[in-house]
This record gives sequence, C-alpha cells and structure tokens, in this order.
Amino acid sequence: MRRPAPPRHPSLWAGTLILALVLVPAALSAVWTPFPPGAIDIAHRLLSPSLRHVLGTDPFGRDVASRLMVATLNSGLVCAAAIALGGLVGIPLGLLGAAPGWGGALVMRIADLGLAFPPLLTAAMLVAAEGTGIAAEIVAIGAFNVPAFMRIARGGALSVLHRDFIAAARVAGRGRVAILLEHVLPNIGAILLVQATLALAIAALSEAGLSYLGLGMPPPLPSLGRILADDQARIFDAPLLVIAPGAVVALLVLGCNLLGDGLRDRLDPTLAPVR
Amino acid sequence: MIRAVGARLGGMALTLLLGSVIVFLLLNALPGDPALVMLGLDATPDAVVRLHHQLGLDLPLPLRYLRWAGGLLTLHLGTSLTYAVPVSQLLADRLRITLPLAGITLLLSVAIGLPVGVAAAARQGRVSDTAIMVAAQLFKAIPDFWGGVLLILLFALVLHWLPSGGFPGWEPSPLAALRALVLPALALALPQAAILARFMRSATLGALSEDFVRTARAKGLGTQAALWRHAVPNALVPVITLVGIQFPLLLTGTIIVETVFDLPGLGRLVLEAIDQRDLPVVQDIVLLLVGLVVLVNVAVDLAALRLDPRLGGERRA
Repeated sequence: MRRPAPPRHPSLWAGTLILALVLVPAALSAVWTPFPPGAIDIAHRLLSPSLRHVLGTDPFGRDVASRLMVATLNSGLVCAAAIALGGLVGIPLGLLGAAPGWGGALVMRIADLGLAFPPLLTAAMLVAAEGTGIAAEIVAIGAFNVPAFMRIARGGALSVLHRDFIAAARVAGRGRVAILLEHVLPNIGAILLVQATLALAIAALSEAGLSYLGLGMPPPLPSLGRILADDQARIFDAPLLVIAPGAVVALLVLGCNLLGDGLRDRLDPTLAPVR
Repeated sequence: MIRAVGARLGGMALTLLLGSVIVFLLLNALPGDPALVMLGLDATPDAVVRLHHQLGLDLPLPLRYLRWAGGLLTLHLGTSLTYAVPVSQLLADRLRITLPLAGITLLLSVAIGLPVGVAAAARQGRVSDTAIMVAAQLFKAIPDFWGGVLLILLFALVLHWLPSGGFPGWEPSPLAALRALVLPALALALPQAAILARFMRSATLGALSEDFVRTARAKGLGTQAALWRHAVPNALVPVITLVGIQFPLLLTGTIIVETVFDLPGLGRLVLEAIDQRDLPVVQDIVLLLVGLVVLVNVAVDLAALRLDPRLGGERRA
C-alpha cells in the first residue's frame, strides 16, 4: 500500500493522534495503573489534581486517572465487541442479500427492523428481563449496527459482482461462496473498515449513555458513563470529576469520527472533490 | 405514488408485527421468572402461583402474545404492576413532557444545523468554512448527558439564567415549564445540529455542482439566488432522510437527558419500570417507541419521495 502524504489527510492523522492519546493509557491499564483503581482511601478524598494524583481523587479517595484508564478500556472493549458482532452478522447477511431474487427485499426488511431498535430500547428490555450484564450491553449496541453493515456489504457486493474478474472466476469454476469470500469481500473491505470506524464513534456514545443510565456493564466494573453519573452531584465542589469522564468519551468519539472521515477520503478518491 | 405509499405502509405493518414479536419474546420467553423477581427470592410458592395467574403468565406463550397484541390494536394497553393504573394513563402523563422536549429539540437542531450548513457551503474553502466544520466535528462528539451537565454548569450554576433541573408542570405557568425544557433540548440539539450542518454542507455543495444550477447561473441568476432557489431545496431531500436516520438516537437521547435534568418524562418512567421489573410498562413503552421510529421513517421516506419523484423508480436499499 502506498504511504499517505500527511498534509492531504489531516483528519486521518488528527484522529489517529487523538485515539492514541486515549487508548494507549487505556491499554496500559491492563497491566499498570498509577494506583489500584478500586483502592478506597477516605483520608485522601476529593483531592485536587497534583503530581501524585494527576486528575485528583473521587469522594472515596480513589485515583480518578486510574479509574478513567480502566473505564476507557472497559468501554472500548464493549464497543469493539459490539461492532464485531454487528459486522459478523451484518456482512454475511448483506452478501447473501446481493444474490439475485428476493434477497434484496429481505435485507431491506431486516434493516428496517434493526434500525427500529436503538441500543437503549434493546438494553432496556434485556435488563428488565435478565438484569444488567456485559453481554446484554454488547448485544444491544451490536444489534443496532447490523443494518448498516448489511446495507453497505450488499451495496458494495452489487457494484462488484458485475465486474469482469467475477465473471472470470465463475468461468474458472469457482463456487458462489468462494467468489464472495475471495473476490467480493476483499474489494469491499475498505468501505467496511470506514463503516466500522464511524460506527465505533456512535457505539462509544451509546455505551456511555447506557452505563450512565445504569443499563450498561454492571458494577463494580468502572465505566465512563457510570463514573459521571455517580459523581454528577459533585459538580458544585469538584467539577473535574464530572468533566473528565465526559471529555474522555468526547475524545474517543472525535478520534473515531476523524479517523473514519480520513480513511474514507483516502480510500475512496471519488469523494475528494465534494469535501 | 399511490403504489409507493401502499408499499411503504405494507412494509411498516410487517416491521411493526415482527418488532412486536421480538419485544414480546425478549420480555417473556427469556429464562427467568418475572414473578419471582418481583416478589423476591423468599416468596412463597402460593404467592408466585397467584401472581402468575394475575399476570396471565400461566397461559401458553402464543396466547399471551395474542392477548397483548390484540389489546394494543384496540388501544387497550396493559396495567402497571407497581402503580396499578393503566399504562395508557401513565403514558399520557409522561408524554406531556417527552413530546414537547423532542419537538423543541428537532426544531432547534434544524433551525441551527441547516443555516450553518448552507453558510459553510457558501464559503467553501475559506477559513470560516473550516472553522464551522471543525466546530461541528467537536459538537458531534459531545455525549448528550455530558453536554447537559456542562450546560447546567454554565447556565444554571455560573450565570443563573435557567433552572438546573426539575419540572414545575405545565399548569401554573407554561413559560416556567418551557424554561425548564430549554437546557435539556439544547443538550440534545447541539450534537444533532452539528451532524445536520455537516450533512447540509455537503448536500448543498453537491447540488451546487449539478447541471441545473449551472443552467440557472448561465441564464443570469445571481450566486445567492441560485444557492437559495435551486441548490438548497434540492439539498433538503437527503437531509430529510438523515433526520429519519437520526430520529431513533434522538428519541433515546431524550430518555438520557430526562435523567440528567430530572424531568419526569417517558424516560424516567421506563427506567423506573426497569428498576421495579414492571414488565407490562417496559413492554408497552418499548413497542410504542419502536412504532414511533418506524412511523417517522415511513413519513421521511414519503416526504423525500414527494420532494424528489426521481426516487420513486428504485427502492432505497
């Protein structure tokens, strides 16, 4: 692959940089945090930011920065799993829908249905029936992502299937599934990657919203939304407690959006003039 | 056109039917006994049997679905287990807050997003265009609830212009009630406006590069007139579709923002119902919201079709 010239795709670089800023500390939290994220230390509660506690401490004396690092990792993993679920279900369905016949109508119907269930409603039902859980949150966010992957996979497949190299593969005796896997999928990989990146941004917003409402991953797992909800009443005396977790979500979303836009500009030159 | 309307309405009915089956199965067929959850683990078997009968849980699943769906079709919703009042009454109460909130949000986001998008398109490539687009990218990334908290911080705690939360009710003073909805609506509308502005900008630029705009310009029409009379109306078609795509997240956004601002709307109702395992309420509200999303998407589809008859030939896929 040709290396991109940096000035041409500023959002690609800005997005990568912002995501690295948020995700590197998050990944680091798997092996190291400045303080144990759950360690309660009432003697040092509600400290202002200092060299020792970069973002201060919360009402229980826990180190805010350490908790945010772990929460970002948790939220990020849930979002990644949800997008993977959306892609794993949506892409095969979309490819199937590209087959001639009633496939297209069926894809449309499933897509309409999926879009009618925003993550919050699915999560509301799953939590009401089964209680909170990581799986419920992943399913709720993932299900809403199925339609988009389905439509994009189908649209991409339809535009590839009439090309000459497909006919050549057919003449060479390759079966339907083999053609879809070996020829169609690699050709729509780029747009699917862009979709996955942009979908991650929306998933991060959904995850934060769900955990803010208490419908996301269950305590004691720290998540960005619940940290904000727990400390919302502290907005008078310790606004940083409320500002910091929201800022991490916003950076995560901004980074994904910029990266997605940048990737689209770079991978799809036809879009360049309308930017 | 009539055929297109018929097809859309038929599709809508099918989606609603499938949606109701999904809602019903998720809330009724998953392992776990709602009666046991409601009564607690130390419930006597007798009480569980009685509650089962009261909830209709002793009936076979398909029959229970038919009873529920039949009730919905005749506008007979369930009865709340915790409040012991019809769900329809609860809904009517709570919608008096949620519907105005969603309406104001939609108005605000269109009123901010569209002009900003057109302005950016008209200044394409200039510094002001870039500034608008960077701002839009930033606002788009703000989670509703965080935006709400920041607005409370600024307008309620620092400036003391608007209330920080709660709802005084419509009766004593509609103006005070409206004031209570301004910040929540703004928290929801700003990210939506940012998304709309970005989309409106590229749709307007797309329309500006079309042949009919070049023709209008060649016939001597000024830049501004060509922009407003030809480019903008044509750019509106994809933008209307976008409003439909955004609607589900806007709707669930009101649930989140109602929590931030402590508004007793539909969102609070559904969260309380989840907390108390009031399954009939959850079931009816979720289906109502799913129905609303489906309805808005059909309406948006038809509006786009009416504005641009070219779309009639092929189904949006």
